[in-house]
Amino acid sequence: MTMTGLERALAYLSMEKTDKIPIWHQSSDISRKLAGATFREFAFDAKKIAAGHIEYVRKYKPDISGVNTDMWWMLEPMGAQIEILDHIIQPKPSPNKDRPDPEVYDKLEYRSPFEGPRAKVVLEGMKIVFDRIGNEVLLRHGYYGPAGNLAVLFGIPEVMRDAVLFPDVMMRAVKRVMLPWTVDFITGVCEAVKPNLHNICWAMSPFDYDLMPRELWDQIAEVELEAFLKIRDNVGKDLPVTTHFCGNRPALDFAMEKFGRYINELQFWWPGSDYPLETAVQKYGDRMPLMAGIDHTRTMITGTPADVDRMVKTAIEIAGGKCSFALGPGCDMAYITPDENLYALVEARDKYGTYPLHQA
Amino acid sequence: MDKDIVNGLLASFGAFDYKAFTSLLKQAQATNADGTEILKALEDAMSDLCSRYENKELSVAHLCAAGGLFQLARESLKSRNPVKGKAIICTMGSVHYGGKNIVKWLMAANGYEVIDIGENVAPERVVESVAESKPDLVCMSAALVVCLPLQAQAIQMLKARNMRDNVKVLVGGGVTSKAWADRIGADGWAKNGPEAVREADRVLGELRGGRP
Repeated sequence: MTMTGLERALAYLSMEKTDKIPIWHQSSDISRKLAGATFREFAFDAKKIAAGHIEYVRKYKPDISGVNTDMWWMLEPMGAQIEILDHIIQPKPSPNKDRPDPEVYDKLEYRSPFEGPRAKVVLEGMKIVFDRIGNEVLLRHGYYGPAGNLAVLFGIPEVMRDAVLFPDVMMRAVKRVMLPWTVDFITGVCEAVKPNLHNICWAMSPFDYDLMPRELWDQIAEVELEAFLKIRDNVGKDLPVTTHFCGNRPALDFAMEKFGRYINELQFWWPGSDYPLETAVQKYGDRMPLMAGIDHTRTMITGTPADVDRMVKTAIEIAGGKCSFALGPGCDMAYITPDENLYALVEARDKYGTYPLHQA
Repeated sequence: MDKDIVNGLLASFGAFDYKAFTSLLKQAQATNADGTEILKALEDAMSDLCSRYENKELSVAHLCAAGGLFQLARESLKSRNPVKGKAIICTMGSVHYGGKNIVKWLMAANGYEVIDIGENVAPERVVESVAESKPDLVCMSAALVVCLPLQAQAIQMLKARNMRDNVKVLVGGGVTSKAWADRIGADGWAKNGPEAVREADRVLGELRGGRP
């Protein structure tokens, strides 16, 4: 019997039998395009946000998707300075871009993530989408932990730099301000999308050999875990928790050591990052659903549908049938991803990823 | 410059000790001493850090930190070190600058005069800057796929203005690739900062007829 996307995704996360290998992907950029809006219009219009994301799911048929406009709306009350142009939403340069300044961390003050004018709009857009299609596909919102949120607020290169130059000062701000902020933010979004809340996706971006310095990982993990446990207490202990590693050198082994007891999936960018899918299957496939296999930066953009077919086939040959496996990229699909490549994903999944698996 | 200050600056640079480094830099500035020696030593230290990064002992975060300290030193101290070549550098079409700044710092630490024309740059601005500054190299970063065409347009515009033969073009950024660089007619491509410096040296050698 054919499963809905939601049934397929939940069965995959429970390591149970599915009819097909599930697919996750999403894109604020393409959803905006489908809504026929510029970002100036999209970012302030809940109905357009909802219409674009619903159309995205209807058109490209992922089993798992998400709703968002950008990474900063929730941080605007904290002082994030954003530029909204027709084609992009992006941060303005950080004031301490060229000059490290430990004082900015000590001056940081808590402000509710929902105080800003855009928060109401985005939450309303999310709520519409979750209400309309949340019983058909698994909708998940991705969240950074406290250190990641600090980096989004102050600038990722700046926080990477300052994590090396004055780690104690930076970590003090993470614990004092961003920990309670993160708990409130995630709890608030989860409350807003009930009753169709099925999943939390935890972006573990700091745990990458190219991003935060290794010597700080233990401290960051401790704070992340504290935030995570509080959120779980707030929103429900049984909610599956998926992960997201978007970097080039993801520390999956570290994440499994620190968070393995609490997470329900390892999702990472492969092909793209240096962590082989084969290794993940071999080390963790017996106890953890794995999601990978879509290269959103190269094959999906510059490849042909035949290249997409090969990419999917390769991933399924490596992981299909050897673990609970889903196809997913390392980040949002880019605006310029050709439609035919997005269609080819589902076609290739149907061809190679329908159980029982047959390699064509 | 006082040996203790030089040694202290080098030690604090290597230890990423912001407090000690900035304090010693203030002392060095107060003496108005020639900074050539210490800047040269810091350039060598930056090269060592690059090797450690390439050996995966250090992360990009460490390069950002070292670049931040190196930039403070360059702003504070005067140097008579010879300039190897002149480059302009920018990010096309978006405000990303993490990777661009790392390349800028590493090139400066390797003897280049680097003119940073900023972020969110349009192809027209690249051409204007080449006309104004007459660099040996143009280094263009693209962090978003929507910005890739801007690199290609800049190269086309340099050709149309007959400026392409006098300047070498390097492209980089997380969404670029060697294939992309070849496709748009760039002279070189690098996937990270240390590679960018090697590529810069290579194409500079080509520009000067094999003499780096």
